[in-house]
Amino acid sequence: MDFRTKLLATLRAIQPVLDVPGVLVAGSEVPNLLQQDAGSSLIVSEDVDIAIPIARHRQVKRRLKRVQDLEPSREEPSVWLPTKPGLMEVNFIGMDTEQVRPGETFVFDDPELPLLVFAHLALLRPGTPIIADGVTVPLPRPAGLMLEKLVTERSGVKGDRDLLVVLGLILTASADDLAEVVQTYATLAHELRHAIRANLTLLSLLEPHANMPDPRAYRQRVTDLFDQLPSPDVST
Amino acid sequence: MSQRLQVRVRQIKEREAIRAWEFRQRHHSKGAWFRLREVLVYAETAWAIGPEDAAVLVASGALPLPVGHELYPQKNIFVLSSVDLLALASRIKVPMRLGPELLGAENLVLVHFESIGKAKEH
Repeated sequence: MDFRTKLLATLRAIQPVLDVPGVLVAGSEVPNLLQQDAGSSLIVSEDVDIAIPIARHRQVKRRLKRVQDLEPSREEPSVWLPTKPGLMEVNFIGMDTEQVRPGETFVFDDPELPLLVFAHLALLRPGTPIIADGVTVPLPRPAGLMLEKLVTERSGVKGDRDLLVVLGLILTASADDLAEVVQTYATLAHELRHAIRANLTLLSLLEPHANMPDPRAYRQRVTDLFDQLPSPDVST
Repeated sequence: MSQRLQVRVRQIKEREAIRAWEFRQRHHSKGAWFRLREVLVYAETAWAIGPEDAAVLVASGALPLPVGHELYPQKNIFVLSSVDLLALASRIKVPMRLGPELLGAENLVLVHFESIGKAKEH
């Protein structure tokens, strides 16, 4: 079974959760889903991240009772594992959209569905959902996702692949999306702005990886974005 | 129940502490690697040149970028137009990555992307 079929089958299985307002598919699968007809040609890990606004936690828990063919991992109940072939892992993560604890990464504890709430997921904003093979997939706006990936600390092969996911987003972004990146960047703390610029310089010098966009071919696109993001040390 | 998540939170906070430390170091020696990449990000191509060509550039008033002198061994990094580059007979193109060819060059010429226009001051 190909990756796209598996991804869409998994999203279909959790459609009751995806229908909760504010819930978003996040992470590396987004550029796959943004491809023409959700083409999913980029190689990423075989799981899908689902960002849950913590204000919607109770509602999501109710909807999880309607999910079939997946069940929570005994080791880590925020991860749901397939009970039949043809599906992939689902990783539920928390989003502090109401800024209850702004800028902080923390555990939202719950015996059934604990969530690791990532501080920078608060940068995500709901975008236009896509419909692929009858599945309605709520996606974040590309700008927030790009910034979230650029401020999150990563390392090694996973880090390189995440940067190439950013490249995938740059390549599919509209002029309005890139303008939104610039606008949101200006509102961030100096340290985060520096991290974004540092990660873009790394992306600009990355080696190619299998089944990911070749960064050498698109260096100028990265440079053009970098050039629009002033250094935090330059007063504007 | 969420002990694993607590461990991940700790790991994330440790990485964030390192990022904050790196940020505070950005104007010091450890920031040199970022400053080098910041110079390279604008370059469409990079060329290693011989010491004679580098001496000619210096004699003609070309100023090497400060970041090259923050590394050891020091290197001269010049930004030239693609037209001026043609006058340097010793030029050898090096891949745009932090690999041995680029890092090993004692004298390096960068040619900016056209969209960036005239050479930026770093």
